[in-house]
Amino acid sequence: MSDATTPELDDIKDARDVNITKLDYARAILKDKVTLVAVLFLAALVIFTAGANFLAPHPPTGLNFLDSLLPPLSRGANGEFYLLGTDELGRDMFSRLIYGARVSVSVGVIGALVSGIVGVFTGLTAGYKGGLYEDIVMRLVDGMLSLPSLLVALFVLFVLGGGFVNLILVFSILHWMVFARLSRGLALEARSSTYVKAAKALGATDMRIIFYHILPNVIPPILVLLTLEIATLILSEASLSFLGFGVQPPDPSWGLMIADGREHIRSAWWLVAFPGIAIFLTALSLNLVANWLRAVTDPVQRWRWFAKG
Amino acid sequence: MAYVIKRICNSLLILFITISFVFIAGRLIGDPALNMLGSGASDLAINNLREAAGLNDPLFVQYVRYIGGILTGDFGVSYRYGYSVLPSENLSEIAQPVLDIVLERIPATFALAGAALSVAVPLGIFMGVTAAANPRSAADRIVTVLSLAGVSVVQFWLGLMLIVLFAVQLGWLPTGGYGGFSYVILPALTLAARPIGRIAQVTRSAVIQELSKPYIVTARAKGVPEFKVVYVHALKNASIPIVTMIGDELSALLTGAILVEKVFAWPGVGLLIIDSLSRSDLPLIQASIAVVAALVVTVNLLVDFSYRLLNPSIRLGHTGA
Repeated sequence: MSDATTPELDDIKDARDVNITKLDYARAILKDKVTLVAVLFLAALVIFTAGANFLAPHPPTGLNFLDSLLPPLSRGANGEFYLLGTDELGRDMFSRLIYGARVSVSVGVIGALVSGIVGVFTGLTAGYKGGLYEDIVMRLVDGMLSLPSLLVALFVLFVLGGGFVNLILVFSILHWMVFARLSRGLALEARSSTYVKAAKALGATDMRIIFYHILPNVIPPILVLLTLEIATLILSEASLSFLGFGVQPPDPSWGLMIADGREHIRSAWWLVAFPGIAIFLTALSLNLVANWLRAVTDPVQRWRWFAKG
Repeated sequence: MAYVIKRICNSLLILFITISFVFIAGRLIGDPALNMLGSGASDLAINNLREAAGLNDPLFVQYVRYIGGILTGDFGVSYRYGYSVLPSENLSEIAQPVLDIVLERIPATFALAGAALSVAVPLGIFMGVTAAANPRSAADRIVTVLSLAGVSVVQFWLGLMLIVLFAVQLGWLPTGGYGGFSYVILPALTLAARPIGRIAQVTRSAVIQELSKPYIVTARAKGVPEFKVVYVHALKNASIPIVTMIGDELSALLTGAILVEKVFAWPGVGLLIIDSLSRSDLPLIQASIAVVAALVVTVNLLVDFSYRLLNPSIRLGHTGA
């Protein structure tokens, strides 16, 4: 995405002068084929997740022992078509992947949002207020970041028991620090800027300055981090569920599907391969979109994306 | 120096809080005596243990005793390690110090992490430099895609796929276990995928940044061979972010090993943690978490210090929070 050549100063000035509309963002996405594919994949994922009840060709828990362990692209005893094959209980893999997306994606998105809100709030206030409060917050952040998060997550889930809600709780506790560290840096930077000084001079309260003036200005980097965190959490959910400490059966999650398929790995590779590919494509798309977001929201780089012609 | 002491104290505090948290949370999962002996134990054995281990004392007394033990290297004993059923009612006969059990597993985990890192560091740096030296070329695109793939893949899934391909289908390598060189190849490659991607990404952007600086123009103008310009001049000055990333990845390797060890039945600390959790073997859980947390915290501390040593423009304590 980045390039060795730095843009001429005039270009930067022009790009800043241009009023960038939503249409321009759409155009910039269309120009970048790889990102476009990633966005389309994520859009399809969201549609399938939301419309699982209508879009899944088979019920995810429909047992059919006549059709157990059928390879991809095969037909069942009653002529049903199984795009990605069936598992040992004769359940359609494609439908289970769609329902699994529901669990995996929502754990990732909700977990990232909750930890993002907590982290951005503590980070912005710490960076803006400074003093002892900042010291305590940042020491906590440093300390918690130095712990092995997967291990702590494993232990907490061992004590609390697995499941959807506990997973989100654990992710929120263990991931807010990255947002806090970023937001604190951004708030530190904003604190000495002219617009904050102006707002202060006009008598705005601290909270108003932080959330009404600073927050809108620091959204882009936070959005990039949020996208990356969703990918991280989807991977973590898969790992924890694989080990048996995350989502509990019969809820289908991608990680759990890999764990279930492991028994049959010698004879039925598709049970393990497809959920892993689903996780991989989702995480890859999120990473690509994050890279793109970083490039187009960076004032020094974005002239390239919005250059006309 | 004050900064170093402050960071060490901070890390010790974090470890202390972690150990305390694990101790207290461990009491929430049920009767510790039952957990320590397993559901197959007789009431007599459980009562004897309660008496002998002081589990009838107030929680605070037990906690102080536990912390005191740790300070003298005594993390308690496991009665169940290595047994599926309790072999004897005579508890002192089967008690094994948990710290010994954990320490015995450390070399296997270190060997795995070391093997993964010795693949990831040269390969990641080579990929990153190649991409940086030829921006927007086919090589650059391939490296970008591969490094993104490395960080997007689920490690344990990659491990399973490698097993299917190289162990089950081709039969070249063992599916898992611990032994000679052939046993370490698949787990090490699995564990290396993510650090290869991260190191390549960081190397690429750091070297690109260096290559745009005036001293590179000078070196090229003097007729220094391009290979030397890239690998000697630019890479050397780009080393700080690369070393930081390698350190970050080292601590990620230690915990990432939990999953990879599980997939490949590699007898390291990670597999020990999973096994002790699934058996609710409380003393072993406490000790293994304490040891791994101490390792990771130490690695993070060393990375932080080395980063500051490498970069003379960052004064110790100046940017520390």
